[in-house]
Amino acid sequence: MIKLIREPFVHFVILGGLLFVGHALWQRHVTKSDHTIFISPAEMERQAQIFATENRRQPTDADLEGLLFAHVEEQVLMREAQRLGLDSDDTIIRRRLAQKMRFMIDDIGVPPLPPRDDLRTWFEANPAEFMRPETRSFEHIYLSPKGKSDTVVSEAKTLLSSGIDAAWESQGDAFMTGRKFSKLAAPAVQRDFGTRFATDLFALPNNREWQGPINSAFGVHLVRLTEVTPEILPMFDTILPEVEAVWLDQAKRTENTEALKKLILKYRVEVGE
Amino acid sequence: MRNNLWACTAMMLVLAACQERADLPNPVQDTASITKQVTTKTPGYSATRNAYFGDLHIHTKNSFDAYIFNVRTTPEDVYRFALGETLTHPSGFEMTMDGPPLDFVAATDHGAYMGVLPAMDNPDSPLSDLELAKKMFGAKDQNAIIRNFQTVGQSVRSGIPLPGMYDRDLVDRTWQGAIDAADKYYRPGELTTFAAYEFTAVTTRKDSGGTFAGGNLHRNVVFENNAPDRLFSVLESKNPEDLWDWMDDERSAGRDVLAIPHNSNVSDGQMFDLIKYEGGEIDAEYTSQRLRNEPIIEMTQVKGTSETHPTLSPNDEFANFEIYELLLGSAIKSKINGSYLRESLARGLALEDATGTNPYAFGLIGSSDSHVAGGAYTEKDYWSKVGIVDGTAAERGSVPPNGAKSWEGVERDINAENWFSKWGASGYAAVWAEENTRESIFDAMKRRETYATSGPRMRVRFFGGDMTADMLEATDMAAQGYSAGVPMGGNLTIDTAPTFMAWAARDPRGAPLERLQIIKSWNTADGAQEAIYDMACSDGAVPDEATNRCPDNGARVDLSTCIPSSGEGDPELKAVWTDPDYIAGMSAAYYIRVLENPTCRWSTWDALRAGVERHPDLPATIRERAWSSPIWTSSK
Repeated sequence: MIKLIREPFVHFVILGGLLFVGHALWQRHVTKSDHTIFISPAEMERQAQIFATENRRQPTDADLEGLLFAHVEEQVLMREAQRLGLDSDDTIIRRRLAQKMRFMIDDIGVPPLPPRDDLRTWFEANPAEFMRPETRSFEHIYLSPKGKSDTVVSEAKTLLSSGIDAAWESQGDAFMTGRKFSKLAAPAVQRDFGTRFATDLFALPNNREWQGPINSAFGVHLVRLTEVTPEILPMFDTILPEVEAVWLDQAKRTENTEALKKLILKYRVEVGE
Repeated sequence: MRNNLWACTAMMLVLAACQERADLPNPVQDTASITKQVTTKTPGYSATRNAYFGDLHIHTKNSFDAYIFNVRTTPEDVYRFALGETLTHPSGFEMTMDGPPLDFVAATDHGAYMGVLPAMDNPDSPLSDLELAKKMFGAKDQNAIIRNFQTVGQSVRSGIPLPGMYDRDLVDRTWQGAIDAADKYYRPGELTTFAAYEFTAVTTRKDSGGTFAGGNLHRNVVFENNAPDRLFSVLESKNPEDLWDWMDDERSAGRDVLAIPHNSNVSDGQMFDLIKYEGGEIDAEYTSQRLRNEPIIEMTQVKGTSETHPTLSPNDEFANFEIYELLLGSAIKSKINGSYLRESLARGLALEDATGTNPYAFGLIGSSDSHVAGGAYTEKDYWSKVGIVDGTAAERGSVPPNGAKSWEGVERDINAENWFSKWGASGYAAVWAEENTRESIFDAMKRRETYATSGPRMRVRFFGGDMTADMLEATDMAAQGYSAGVPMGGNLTIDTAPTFMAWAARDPRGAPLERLQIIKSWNTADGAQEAIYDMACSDGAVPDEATNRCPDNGARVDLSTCIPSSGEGDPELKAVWTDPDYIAGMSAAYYIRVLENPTCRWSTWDALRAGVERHPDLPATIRERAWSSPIWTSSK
C-alpha cells in the first residue's frame, strides 16, 4: 500500500482526477453564472424612466412586465450571439468599439496651460491666428442721382468745397442703412455699398475731413472717416483668454494625434500583395 | 451700427408703444410664451432693425431624393457653403455662392427616411442587405435606379413605412447629427443656423393614369433653439393638422417651432384650400392652430414662384414670372385655385369672417430648395437643384442636346422640357431683425417682418399707419415708420383710407430698380379681388392716373452679351401712398412688389456661355423682384 502511495503513476492519476473534478466544479459555477440574468432594481428604474420620457406617462404593471421581458430577450439574444462568435467580425461592433476607444483617447483631459512667457512666445510665433483686419468707421452724406444724374457729382463737389458744417446730418438724401457706420471691415462695406465704394473708402487718406465724392451702386457720397483701425495684431495681454482657447484647442488636437500615434506604433502593419 | 444709447432707448419705448396699438391678435401673442434667455447684444445690433438674408430650405445626402442623385454633401457642408466656402456638385464642378456670405441658414432634409439611403448604400450597414438596397444601388443604369427608387417615393407619399427600411434609430441619430451641425456652426452676430427638417406630405390624384401626380403639401419645420430627440415625419401621419398638434406639444415643452409651407404652386389647390385635409368645414380651432404654427410661407424657390398665376391675375402684366405648374413627378397641371398667395390672402379674409381668425395671414420668404447643399441664387451662375440629372446645361434644357448648336429639328429631352427648364434661380428669405441671432430672427419670422426675393438682395421697408410724405426724406425714416404705425406683417385698424410708406434699395450687385408697386387683395361675395397700383417709377416718371401704372422705362438687355443696352433705372424707390379706392368697412391685405430692370434669365446665360442658340420657348430675360409680407387692414 505504502509502495503504491509512493508510485508516481498513482500520483499522476490522483492529481489528474482532482484536476478533472475541480474543473468540472468550476465549469458548473461558470456556466451557472453565465446563464443567470440578473436585473438590478436600478436597471428597472432606469427602464421605467426612459418609458416615462418617451410616453409622457408612468408605466403600468403590464408595461413594466413588457419592459422586463424585452430586456431579458435582448440579454439572451446578445449572449447567444456572443457564444456563437457573431461579434467577432461585425463592422458595426468593430466601429463602435473603435469609436469608444477614440472617445477615451480624446477624453484624456485638458492639457495644462504653459507658463505665461511660453504662451507669449507661441503667440508671437503664430500671429496669423490672431490678426484683426483693418476696419473703418465713417459718416457719409448721400446724394441720390434721382432726376439729376448729370449734375449730382458736381453738386457733391460744390457741397464739399463750400464747407460742411455741424448740420451735416440734415444734408443730402436719406440713406436706407443710415449715415454712421462703425468699425466695418472691407467685406461688410462691400456687402452694403458695393465693391467700388469699398475699394475707394479703404483708399481714402486717414484724416477727419470730409472727403470725396466717391460713388456707390446707390449714387454719390461725401465721406468723413471717424476712426481707422489698421490691420493689427492685438496685444497679448488684451486677448489672453482667446490665446489660451486657441492654444488649448491646438494642444488638445496634437495630444490626441500623439496618443493615437503611440497606439499605432505598438503594431506592425503588413499590407498584403 | 449706431451706438447712440439714448436713441436706442427711445426706439424701445416707441416700439413698445406701437405694439400696444395693434388691436388684432398677433401671432406672437397667440403663441404660448416661452421664457427666453436674456443675452448681451451682438455687434451690429440695431433697434430699428437690420435686413438679414438667408435660405431656410436646403437638402443634403440625408434626403432620399438627393442621395439617389449622387449628392454626398452633409448638413455641415450647408453651413460651410453659407459662409462662402466652395462645394463640389455631384456632376463634378465647383459651386461657390456669388455674393457675400448668408446671414442665416438651415439644412432641411426630408424627415421621412432621413439618413436611410446613405446607410442602404453602405456595405457595412445591415440596411444594405435589403432587397431594395441591392436593386437600387446594384443597378447599372440610371433609369433602373430611379425606377426602383420610386418604391421609396411611394412610401413617402402613402405615409406607410417600408418594412425593414424604416430604421427609426438611424433616423433619430441622423436628426441628432443635423441638430449638432446647426449648433456647431451657429455664430451669433455672424451666422444664425436653425435645426430644421422637411415634413414631406403629398396627396395623390386618383385619375392620374399611371403617374402619381403628387399635390405638394410640404412644410419645413424650423426650431428656434431647442430641438426634440425625435422628429415628426409623414411616416407618423401625412395630415398637416397632426403635425400642428405635435408642434403645439413641442412648444408647450419649451421648444418653439414653426412650419413653413412651400411650393403651393404645385399643391393641386390644396395648400390654401377652403376645406380641411380630410374634408369638412374649416372651423375656429383649425384657423387659430394654423396661424399659430404657420406664420410665414416660402413663396418663391427653384421649383417656381407662387405669388399669382396669369389666369388669376389677367390685369397683372408681371404675373407671368417663373411659373411652374406640374404636379410632382408628372406632366399634369396643378389646380390653380387654392395654389397661389394672392388669392389665398382674399380667402383668408373670408375665412376670418366665418371663423374669427385668418388662417392665411402669411408673411413671405423665399428660399432655394437646393438638393446639393448650396443654393443657385444667381441667374449668371445657375446649377438647378437635383444633382446628376440637371447639373449640365443640356440636361436642364437651356442648350440643345447632343452638342447641337441650334434647336432646329432636335428632339428635346422630355424631363428638361417639362421640368428643369421651367425652374428658376430663386430665392432668398429676408428678415428685419434687431440682430443676427436665433431669437431675433425667429421672432421676426413669427411677427412676419419678412420678405421674399427672387435672387437679388434688395432692401425693402414697408409701413402702414400715420405716414406722411416728409418721412421719406427724414434721416430716421425707419424709426418714424415704426412709431407712426406697423411694419410689414402687421395689422392696422382703420376708419379711413389707409396710408402706406415703402422704400426699396437695390442690391449693389444686382440691377437698378424699375418700379415699386403695392398690391391689394380682398374678398367680396364674388370671390377674391385684387388691384395693383404703381407707387413709384424710375427715371423720373410718375404713375399714370387712369391706369395706375408707370410707363416703360426703356431698360433693355443685349442678349448677345447680357449687358444692359439701354435705360437707367433707379438705385432706390420710395413713396407714401393712400388707397384711392378704399371701401369703408372692407378688410384687405396690402403688400409691396418691387421690380428690377430686365436681366438675362439663367437659360440665356447658359446658351451664351455655350455659344449656342437660346431655347426659343423660354423667356430670354426676367425681372428680378422682391415681395414684402402684407399689412392687413380692418375697420375699427
